[in-house]
Amino acid sequence: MKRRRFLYLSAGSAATLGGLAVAKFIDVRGPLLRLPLTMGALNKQDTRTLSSLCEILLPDIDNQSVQFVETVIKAQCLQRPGYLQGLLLSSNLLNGYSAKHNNQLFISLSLDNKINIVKDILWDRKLFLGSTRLNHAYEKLLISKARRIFYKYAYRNLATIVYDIPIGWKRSVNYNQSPGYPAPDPFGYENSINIG
Amino acid sequence: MSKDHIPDICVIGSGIAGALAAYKLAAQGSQVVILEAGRYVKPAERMSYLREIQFNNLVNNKHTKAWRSDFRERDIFTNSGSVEYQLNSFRTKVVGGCTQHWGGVAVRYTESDFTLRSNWGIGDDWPIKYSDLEPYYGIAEWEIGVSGNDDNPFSSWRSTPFPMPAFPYSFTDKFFMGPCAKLGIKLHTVPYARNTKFRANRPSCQAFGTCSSLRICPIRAQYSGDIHVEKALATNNVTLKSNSSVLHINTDERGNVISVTFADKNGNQHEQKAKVFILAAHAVESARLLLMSTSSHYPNGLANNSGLVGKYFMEHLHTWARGKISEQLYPYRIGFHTAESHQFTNPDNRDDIGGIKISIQSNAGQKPSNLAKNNPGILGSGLSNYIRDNFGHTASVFAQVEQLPDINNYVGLDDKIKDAFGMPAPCINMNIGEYERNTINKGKAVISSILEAVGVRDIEYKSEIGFDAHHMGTCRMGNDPEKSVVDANLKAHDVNNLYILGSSTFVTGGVTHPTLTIAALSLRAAEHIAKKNMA
Repeated sequence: MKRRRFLYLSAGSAATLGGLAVAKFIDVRGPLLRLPLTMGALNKQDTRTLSSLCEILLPDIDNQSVQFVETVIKAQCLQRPGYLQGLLLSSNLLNGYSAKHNNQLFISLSLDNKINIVKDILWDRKLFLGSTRLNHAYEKLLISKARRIFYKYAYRNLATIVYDIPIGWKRSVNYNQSPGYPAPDPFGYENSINIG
Repeated sequence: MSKDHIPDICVIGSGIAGALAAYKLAAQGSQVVILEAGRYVKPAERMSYLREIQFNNLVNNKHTKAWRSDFRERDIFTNSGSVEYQLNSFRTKVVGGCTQHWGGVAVRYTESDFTLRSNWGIGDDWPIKYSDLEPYYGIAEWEIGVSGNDDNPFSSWRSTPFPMPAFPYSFTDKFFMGPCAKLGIKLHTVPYARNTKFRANRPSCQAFGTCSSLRICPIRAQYSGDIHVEKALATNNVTLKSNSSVLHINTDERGNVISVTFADKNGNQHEQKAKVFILAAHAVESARLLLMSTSSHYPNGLANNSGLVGKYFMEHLHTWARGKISEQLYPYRIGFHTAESHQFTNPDNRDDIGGIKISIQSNAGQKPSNLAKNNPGILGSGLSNYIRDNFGHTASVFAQVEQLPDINNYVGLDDKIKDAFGMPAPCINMNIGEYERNTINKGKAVISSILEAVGVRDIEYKSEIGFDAHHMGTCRMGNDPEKSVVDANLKAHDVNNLYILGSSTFVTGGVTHPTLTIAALSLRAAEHIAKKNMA
């Protein structure tokens, strides 16, 4: 037992030291994506493809909220350098994976299949818990640029938007506003509330 | 007012100090002009302004607060002290001034806050006592509408009741009551300039939750200085000139102020005459303007024969700690905290350790959007479940502490860096002394004991000492013209027709929020100005 434990510890230490050396060698400051900074309008089909991620992030999200999310990502493409290209590449990646695995457009897939596609694209971002530097090194070396673009511009971006609007608050923590308490009883905040 | 008419009063700055004085003087018949460097967001535009900020924050994945400067070249500043002081994070230039982005806490200083030198041999005594200001505290609470309960055993006496009852305790704050009581720490309600019922044509709080997160109340349940600007305008004795940055205060050969030179947003310069001038441009800009207003009569800057303009700049410092807790605390359902303890604001050994104000945080921990953003790749209903399981399980306690006046902390001019109008930038020289660091450490010990008592595991502390955006000092009041800038009535010692209002005149900073004291002092000064100049 002692020998096996020693071997495990040695292998673990070597992997960590190796990872640190690689991270130092490539001087990782974060996974740079260097996208064209052009801004412009996102077409309807790509907008729909991306907004269909909303139901993956928040099942049963209503149409009105999805339309609002579309308004936000359209504004991002018009106002934020890199977002038009980042979101377009993300839409292409979703459709590319869908075609490969299901021979369909992403938007036509069932919810379960959509989830499987997104799971395929994403990776375990907590592989090196507690070390951003190691994670960045790992991601830069082993995760394709397209997948990293998808994570930043589509997945993380939309997750932030969906859970920052009223429907996200309501569905996740059962509050009616984001944040806040319903106006008819503004002082009701002193009581507990059924979450979940 | 005709173009050639010389108004009675020119008020520089439309924050709570300038707005209250302008209103009181105009209501008594004085002709008043208000010059404000910032823009005017009208009441009807507030909701759309809030929605615009919220939408832009979604687009930019940021959390930008309201009232941030739209004119950075105008608001340039530099630092020269050992501490990096991010001035523009702590101020705003807009009609209503800093009460547009304040948290609304409207609490009185205590009797001992005015007599630190007499009681402990530290700091200095004010030239007025709590009893001198007490009636004006009551008027200020009535004017701005303060909701509070007389349940704070550590506050000083009061002769008038609060205009409205206090906000009830949030679920989070109630959760802390028992453990704090076991520790012998008394929690009490927080007086807020925020309506708990319809009052003075303003609705009660509807819990938008945006007062502390985005620093804007869209329905004006929370008080802001523009409310008294509008009341002043309604007297028909007031002219408001927004987007008007005062560059110089001009004096005659006798040393009296005759006019100010101001620039509009395009840089075009104008002159505004008046009989009496009230400088209420906040602790940084008031000092800066006086230092810039040199003349043959005042070679070191206006009202600066003492050499103390800009000196004794003070803040409130803070620290906090937080940690995970197994219980659900239901945070973010309102925008503010509802329980504080002033038990440590006036310690017996205040000469060694300063006062500490403890507040329980009703809005601690990551929001759903942050949990979603930082999740390790969970999808579908699992993501909602993950957020539900992780949301609301953070407890946090905040400690605000006093900073003693120190002549080495000051606002000066940086002649090498010019603003949009070619004027020298304000230079902040801020340092944190041993007294303040010891007080912060004591504050940490108190909040740690509270967090441990409620069952927090692995307490995480704020890494650096923070500032509370409470600028004070720089034009301190006093009876001795050699040791102060203004007298007890806030008239400049050196200038007959210049008054300086606001927290710049504070001798010491106390432990609690300064706004109600600013308001009370302004009302007191306005009464004096009316008596002396308008008779």
